[in-house]
Amino acid sequence: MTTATLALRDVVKRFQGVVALDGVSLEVAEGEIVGLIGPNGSGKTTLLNIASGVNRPTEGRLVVGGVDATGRRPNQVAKLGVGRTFQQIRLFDDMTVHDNVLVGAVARGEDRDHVAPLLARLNLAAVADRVAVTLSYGDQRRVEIARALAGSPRFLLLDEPAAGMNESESDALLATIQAIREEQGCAVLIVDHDLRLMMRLCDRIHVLAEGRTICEGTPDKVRADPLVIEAYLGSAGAPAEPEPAGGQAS
Amino acid sequence: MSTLARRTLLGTAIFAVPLTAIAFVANAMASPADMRVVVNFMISLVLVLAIQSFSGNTGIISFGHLAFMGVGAYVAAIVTIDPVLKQDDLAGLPSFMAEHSVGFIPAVLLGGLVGGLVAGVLGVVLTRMREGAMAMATIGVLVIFFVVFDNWEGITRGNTGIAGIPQSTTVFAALVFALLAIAACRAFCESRFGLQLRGSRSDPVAAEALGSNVVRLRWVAWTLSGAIMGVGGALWAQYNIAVGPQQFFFEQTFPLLAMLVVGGLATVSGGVVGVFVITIVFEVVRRMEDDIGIPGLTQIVVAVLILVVLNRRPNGIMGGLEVDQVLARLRGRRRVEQEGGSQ
Repeated sequence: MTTATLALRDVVKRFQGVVALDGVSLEVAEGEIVGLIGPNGSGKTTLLNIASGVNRPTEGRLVVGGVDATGRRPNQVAKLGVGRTFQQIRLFDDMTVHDNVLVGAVARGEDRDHVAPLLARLNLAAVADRVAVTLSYGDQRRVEIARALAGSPRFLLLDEPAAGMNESESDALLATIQAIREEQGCAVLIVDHDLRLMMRLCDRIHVLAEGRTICEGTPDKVRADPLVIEAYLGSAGAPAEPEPAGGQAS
Repeated sequence: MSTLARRTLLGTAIFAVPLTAIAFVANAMASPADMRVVVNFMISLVLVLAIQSFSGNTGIISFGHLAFMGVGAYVAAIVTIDPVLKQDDLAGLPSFMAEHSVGFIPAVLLGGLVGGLVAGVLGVVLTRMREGAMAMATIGVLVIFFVVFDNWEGITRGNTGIAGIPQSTTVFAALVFALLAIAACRAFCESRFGLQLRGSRSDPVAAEALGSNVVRLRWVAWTLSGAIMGVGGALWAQYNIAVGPQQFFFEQTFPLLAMLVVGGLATVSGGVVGVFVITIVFEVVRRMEDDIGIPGLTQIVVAVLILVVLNRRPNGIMGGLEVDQVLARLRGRRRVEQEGGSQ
């Protein structure tokens, strides 16, 4: 195995006896876009929290770029090159868009000049001086991505970036994430319910149900897998229908 | 010029003009009573900005900073008093301290140094706490230092306090240190430390996920603010010429916090404006109080002012902005109005 991977090995996470993850292994290689899907409560966010150091695993290891990062603080995991966004947006509400992204840069010792190109890249230059909390939902999601990218991560973890986006916004997000991979060379681990987005974006998809991996492979393989159809998509099996992903719900 | 340097210079220069004018006018024509108000105003700027540099950037209120003011004041007292007086009053001093004294500037620097050292040591424990727990623990810091000041007879003369400190803090010296405090606090706020702390102020979880070591950043802010507080205490002692434990306790904590909250905790400009407004209101009402014959009116008016400000402007008079940002906005708005009018 190359060292440029983010790897979770046999990860178990229990919250006061409740098993959230039950022996999950997952790897994201350099430059790869890996999707993580599964029904609500299947452990997707817990997995991202462990991969970013926000939660520590009960059992198993987190290895980032060849370094065992198990049990390290989130800021230490970030310094190994892991950036992330949150399912519930966690912007610095009282700061401007520019300053939000600037904090992401200086927290990893990046230069202040790093900010302007990123804002332009994510189509945020026009709102750079607005206070973050005044932005629309979709704009706030993009600010969070820009802020995570400001630290030049090698691995970017996105927790439901398309939530609350309509189809055209979600298409734009798809293009943005692909461009980020091309330009920054960073790998992406993405959780989302928007299967239309996920099937087109991801090189590989990892399917969780009740804290276990039930399938892993290319979008085509996952789409055809009977276990996935059973557990996640419902027995009707139409991939894009069952989850209310594209609506304006928040 | 870097953003940090430009904002620091601009933010300091805007306040330097009126503050310097006040100092010169006071020096030329103020009565001794008015002069006291002006010098204590300048010293209060140092003290309030010291608290702002921690509480403003971290969002954690400190009730304990008067302890570091006390440390700075006692240090300044002990190192400046005439050795002859020390032999009688401060029997507990080691001989090298009992036999020598230093001048104004070394005393101020020593006050800052010891204030910073004491804060640095305490900060190792305090900054590991959660936000609310740390705020509560700062009350403990205040009480512990009060008890020490009150009982360490050989060094602090306990409840009696130390008198006979040379009065070295002139209005211009106080002005210079007030401007230095404004510049230092603004530079800190705009620095990598300040930026990350302001992020952690609104969301510590997000800040850590970006790579900020929030505990260490808080320690840096706490230690710096303890040092500035020590400088303020040393200035204060060398103006008011006597120090005692009661001067660094609850009663003196709340006026300083009131100034900060009324002006706006989040910015350096808020601290400056708060000190100015509360000082003016306090002095005006205090003088009326004797004429009207309502004792306690001053405290009531200041308390009502705090309530009104917090109700109408929860982020203080400055509303979370620095003075240069306010001016830039006003200029922008005027330009929009002019362009709108000409079409």
